[in-house]
Amino acid sequence: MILEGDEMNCKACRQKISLYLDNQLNEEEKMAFEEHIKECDECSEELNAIRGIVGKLNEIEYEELPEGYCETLHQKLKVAGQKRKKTVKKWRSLSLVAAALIIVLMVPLAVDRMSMGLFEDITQSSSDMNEMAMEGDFSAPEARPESPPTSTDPSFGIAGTDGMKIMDEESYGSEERALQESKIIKTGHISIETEAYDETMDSIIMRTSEIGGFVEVSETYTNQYSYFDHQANKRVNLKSGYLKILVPQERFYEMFEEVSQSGDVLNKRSGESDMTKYYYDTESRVDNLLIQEERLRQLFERAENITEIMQIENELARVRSQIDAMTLELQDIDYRSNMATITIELREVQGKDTIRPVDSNLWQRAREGFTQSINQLILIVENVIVFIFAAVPIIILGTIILIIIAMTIKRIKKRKRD
Amino acid sequence: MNDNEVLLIKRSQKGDLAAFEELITDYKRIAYNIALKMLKNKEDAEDASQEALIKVYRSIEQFNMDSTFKTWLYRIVVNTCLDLTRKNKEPVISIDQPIQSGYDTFHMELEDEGLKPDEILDKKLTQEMVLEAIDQLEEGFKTIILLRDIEGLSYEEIAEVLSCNLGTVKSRISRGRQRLKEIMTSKMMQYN
Repeated sequence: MILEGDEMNCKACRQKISLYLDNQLNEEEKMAFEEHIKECDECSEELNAIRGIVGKLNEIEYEELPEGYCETLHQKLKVAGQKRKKTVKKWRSLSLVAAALIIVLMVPLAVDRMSMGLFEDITQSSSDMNEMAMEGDFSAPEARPESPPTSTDPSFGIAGTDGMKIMDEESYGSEERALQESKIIKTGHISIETEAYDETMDSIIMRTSEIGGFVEVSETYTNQYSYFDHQANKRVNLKSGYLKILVPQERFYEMFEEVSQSGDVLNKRSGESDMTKYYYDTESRVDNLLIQEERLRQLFERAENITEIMQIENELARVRSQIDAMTLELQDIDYRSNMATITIELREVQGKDTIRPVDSNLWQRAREGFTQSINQLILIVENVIVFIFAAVPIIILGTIILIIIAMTIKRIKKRKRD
Repeated sequence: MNDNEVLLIKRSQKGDLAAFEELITDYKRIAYNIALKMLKNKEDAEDASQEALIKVYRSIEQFNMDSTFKTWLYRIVVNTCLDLTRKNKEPVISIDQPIQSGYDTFHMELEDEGLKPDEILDKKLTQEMVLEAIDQLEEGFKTIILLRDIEGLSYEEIAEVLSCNLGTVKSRISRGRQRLKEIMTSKMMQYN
């Protein structure tokens, strides 16, 4: 039977076999197709043949993965993962190249200026800071409002040509944070005496955490000096202690002052070392090394023989270790410039209004005195004995002489009587 | 794509290798088998499928969930294998021309790989025969038949994998199967 309008000839039918098998025909097409198959033996044979083949294909099962497939794949993926990370960093290394170029171009300029005795920073950002400082009200450079009143206050920052202090802890801590942050390491040391040791210690520690710092070392020991606490009715040993605290660098002076007011200051010093230049020098050196490393890696991938591989590997290891060492150094400077260190020696002293404690050496001294007088006594006795013995011959001689004299006198008196 | 797969994809995009390996647990075998059918050689299939999976891992960041992960992975595997077959097109060696080697000439002695006629009578259509026939298909048909009848992808999925429209998929599947039937018939005729 041949449908009118939608005539299905064998050619059209063959083309639809596949679609029919996969159920891709619409109802109308499907019906027409089935009609034709009923009529046409050839097409029906073709349909069966293709259905058989498709059936066979559907039966094909997956083969198992060969042995070690997963392990090899894992290794390859690991390597690929490392490379992937690198490609992510590619734009970064590009910017590094740009940075390196700028530095290379700027260095001769900087060297020129340095040789003229000008200590200006190489990068633009320092000139930004110069401007920032100039905008501020710094007509008298010494009279900065934040500067602590201590005489130990060192002038910090890099002196510009005009002698102006271009760094200020407040100015670069502000929103207008310059591109190049200055790396200044502040340290301070205070020795103080206090009557209330525990309270002072606690207040320093509390204050430290309040301003966002932390105590790195805290040490307390009792010494042999003691006094008698009449209130507690017991003997109390005096304490000494050592504290090392780290505080955010912008609050360094604040904290330093507070600590010095918490007791009688025996000794106090603070200092700053400017690591800015060194820091950025090192940083650009690291950047250069990173580029070098990248290049070596590219070479490594292209290496053809063992000798080349070994050489490049050695070089890579050397560059890597340099990068690591410098990065560590940078991190250390970062850390130390962010957190200023204050070391505090705390000594407890006895109260001035309490009764002086009995000297624990009293008995010792008494014994010493006693021994001394005994010794003197012994010396006297010895001397007496020595004197007596030394005098024996004289005494004997004297006695004999006396006897002779006495006998002579007796004889003279007897003659007179007679 | 289920939620777990989406999660694994997101983790893989951040470079989590463990997540990626979990993601491809099932696809490893699929990739290997496609490669095996396309390349007809276990070593090549292993290399090619691994290469494809590495490509997947490297470019997973660019996968934007527009298509399913499955079709995306299939596409990479199929393209990797196609690249390889194009690259590896070996010079054809004639099996009936004598081989020249120095002063001597050899005749190639080949084992008859075909089935014996009685076997054909027994089995009529064996899987091996079908696979052999597939291997003789033209590249374009081979891939599409593989995806449709062995991998069981839908027409829409195939269109995505091969980045072509549905009409093309339909006609190519149709013609591919016809061609396959022709090959099979001629094989049968040979042995009969």
